[in-house]
Amino acid sequence: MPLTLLANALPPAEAAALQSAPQYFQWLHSWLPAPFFHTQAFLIFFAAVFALYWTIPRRWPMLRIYLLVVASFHFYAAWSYDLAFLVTGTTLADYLFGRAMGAIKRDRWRFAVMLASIAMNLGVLCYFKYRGFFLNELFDGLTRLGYDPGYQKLNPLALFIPFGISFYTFEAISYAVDVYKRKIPAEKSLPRFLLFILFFPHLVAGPIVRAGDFLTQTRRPKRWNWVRAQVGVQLFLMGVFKKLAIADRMALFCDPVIADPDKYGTGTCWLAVLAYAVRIYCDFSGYSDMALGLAHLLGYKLTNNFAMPYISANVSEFWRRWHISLSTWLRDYVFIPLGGSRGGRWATHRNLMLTMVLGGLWHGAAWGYILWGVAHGLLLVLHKQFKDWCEPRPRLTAVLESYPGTAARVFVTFLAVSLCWVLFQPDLSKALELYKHLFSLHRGLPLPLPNKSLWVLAGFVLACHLLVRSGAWDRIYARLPAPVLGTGYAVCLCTAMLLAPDTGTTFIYFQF
Amino acid sequence: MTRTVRLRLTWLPSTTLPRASVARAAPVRRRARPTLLWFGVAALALNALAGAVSSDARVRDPEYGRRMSRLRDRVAENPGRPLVLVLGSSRTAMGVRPGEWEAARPADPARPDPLLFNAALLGSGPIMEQMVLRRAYADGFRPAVVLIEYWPPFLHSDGGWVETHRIARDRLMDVDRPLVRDYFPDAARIEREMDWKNRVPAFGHRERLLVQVAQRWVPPEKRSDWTWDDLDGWGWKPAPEFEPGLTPARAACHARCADIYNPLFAAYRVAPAADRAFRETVALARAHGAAVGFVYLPESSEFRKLYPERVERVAREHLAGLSRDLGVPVLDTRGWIDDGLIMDGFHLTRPGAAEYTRKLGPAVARTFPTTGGAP
Repeated sequence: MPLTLLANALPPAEAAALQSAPQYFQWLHSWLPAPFFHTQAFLIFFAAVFALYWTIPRRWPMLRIYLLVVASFHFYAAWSYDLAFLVTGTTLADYLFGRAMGAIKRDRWRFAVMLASIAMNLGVLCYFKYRGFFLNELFDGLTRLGYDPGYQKLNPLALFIPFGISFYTFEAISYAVDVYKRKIPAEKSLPRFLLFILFFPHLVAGPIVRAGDFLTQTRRPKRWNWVRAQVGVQLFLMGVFKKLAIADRMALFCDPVIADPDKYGTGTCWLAVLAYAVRIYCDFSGYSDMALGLAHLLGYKLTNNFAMPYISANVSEFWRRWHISLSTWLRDYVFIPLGGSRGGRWATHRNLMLTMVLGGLWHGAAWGYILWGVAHGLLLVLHKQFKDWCEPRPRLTAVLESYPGTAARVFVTFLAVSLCWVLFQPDLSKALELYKHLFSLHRGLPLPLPNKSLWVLAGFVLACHLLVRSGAWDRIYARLPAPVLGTGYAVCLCTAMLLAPDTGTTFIYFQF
Repeated sequence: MTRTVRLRLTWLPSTTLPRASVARAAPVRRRARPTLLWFGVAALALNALAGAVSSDARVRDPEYGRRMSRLRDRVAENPGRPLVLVLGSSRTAMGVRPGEWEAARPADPARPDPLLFNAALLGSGPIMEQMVLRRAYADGFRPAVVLIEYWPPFLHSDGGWVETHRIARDRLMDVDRPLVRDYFPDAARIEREMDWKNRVPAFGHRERLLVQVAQRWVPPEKRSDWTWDDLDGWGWKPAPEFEPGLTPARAACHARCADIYNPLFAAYRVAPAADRAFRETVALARAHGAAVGFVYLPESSEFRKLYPERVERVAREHLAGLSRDLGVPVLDTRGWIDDGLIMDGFHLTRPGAAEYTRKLGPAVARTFPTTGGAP
């Protein structure tokens, strides 16, 4: 039943592969058909893991870790057993690379081992995620030049892309680099290392955890804590609400327009852009909240991924608030190693552009994502230039930092980011078509649902942001008595369920 | 330093715990357990409330439930009059307008006129007709006469015409379980779905609940309120406004219907399930002491011409066989109404429904002179 919530749980290639899976994994798939946290099957799975986990006596911490590793493996294997073995295999290799780096004293050899680890991880990532894109682009290029490529174009739908591959690849790379730089010691315990990569709350769509943060947590004794449980439940419910009541509902507005912009009028296209901006935020941050909540319930704290990004006053701030685990990863492992902002203006701009293009490519193997990265790189460069220009002009700076000036900056940043989201899709031609309709008057159909409900939801998101930003929420929250808070949670859950459209969709970030 | 501070939970945006201070952390820690307890209790209570609301027929299946609440009122207003429940499809829903019969009936106190009520559901074939009758009996109604619409196209059940596919799963109620077991090919799965929806009604029946309070929040293709929002007090659903006469709009409607029904007639057969449903509906009504009749509602002359000779013969023989086997009278009203009052070949316009029902009332009174038994 809960799968009626999901329009596209299993892509065709994976569905075909499932037919040839061993009986046990087919049975597993029938029980847990999709790795989505807000489905009945997952909640039953989690309840079983949760109950077993806290039943295991505290004096057997390794048994708890084994349980989580086995549960995480099954969580992945239920969707695709062979890819679960692949992920486990590469994790095992990363563990061995780490142990080798820990054992080797000579830096040159350590460097070679680190490179081998990175090459293996990037190799797997490129093979699964970018092979189709690059081979098809090569095919088109050679054909245009009049050469016979000697192979057929690959059907993207027939390609297997292990879900979450971009997330755990980055985790593994950061581990290798950190061990090489001796920021952290190589992990000696295999189960702990397996848990670091495979831990099911963050396996599919992050947050991208760092070994230094996570592995230390595996060593801490885990005691049941009601405050932590409450925070976990609260985060999970908030994630469910964001996903079901807002993101999936916003999809009703924006998906038809993005799929076929030609049918819709200019005003409708602008509303669809607004709806998509709200949708992608609530979809991804909703998932992250759920992941954080589940991890808290098991006694782990994952990296926070969002900090109200749409109230950023500039693009640079946006990237400090949006997908924080990725932006800090890119900063630490790409931007700074490239030289960061130490090499003068042009070198900084070059590093920013390279980092953002890589960020775009990380999201998906398509020109839309790459151009999205380019657009954000340009915005960052532009912002840096503008900031430098403003510095010797204190009056202008004061105006910009006043309340109206800040409101205007927030609006402009939101507008720029929202327009960039148009590119954030595999089909670049659709994105260009949508741009054309945004900036030229065009008559067409209205939104499929009344605009009022879009404004109500967008207004609700804005009001929540303002409430938290102003600090009022902290004051209210501290004074809420338990019955009001508990009933509030229940109302939040029921409202989310009630508002969830029947046409529910998968998480946008699962494809990455 | 308290545990709350150590976990750095304060940094979580929009779920921020109070700013880390020993003074505030203590009450927060103390209330965590009761908060979760209250959450559990409130969630269960709200779920139960959603269950109670969604189990009401007016919410779960408003097209049926709202008719039945009107029927309850009409029965209360007209004590002693024999209830004639008319079951059928959209043809009946738009074609039988008991309010017109009420205005025109002789109202002889010595011989109470039949109390016609339209209990049709859009898309009904024999199985849905039986569903309505089973529900009506479960709701305590005891009609003296049950009039069952007979329409050949809806007895065909191949390809896209399977009747059980037309029954939206989320309108099914617990009272329908026997019907599901008797007629649905995947009954076990549907019952599992029903069980699950009943366990989490706030989610399982969300669209039925939401459409009651915020119809415009439901996607157009999922909205069902158009099937019940303009019912009159007698269960009649007015047809869309339509210019009377042999207009180009009417011709276009007929052309569309021809496109739909010609392929059906080409492969026409009476489904065994449809035949069984008719027989079991008649038996059900009789078991409750009601008289039963079949009624064949008007069709335009153009639409009648669409029936190939073979289909016409098969349908006629089937109806005659049912009538003969079950001893049920047939009200053949197929040619009662002029073509200009029929919208698309088989749906009556509003004036057409008025004229038709003024004729149907006396015909029912004549056909079923005594109440409470077979004619």
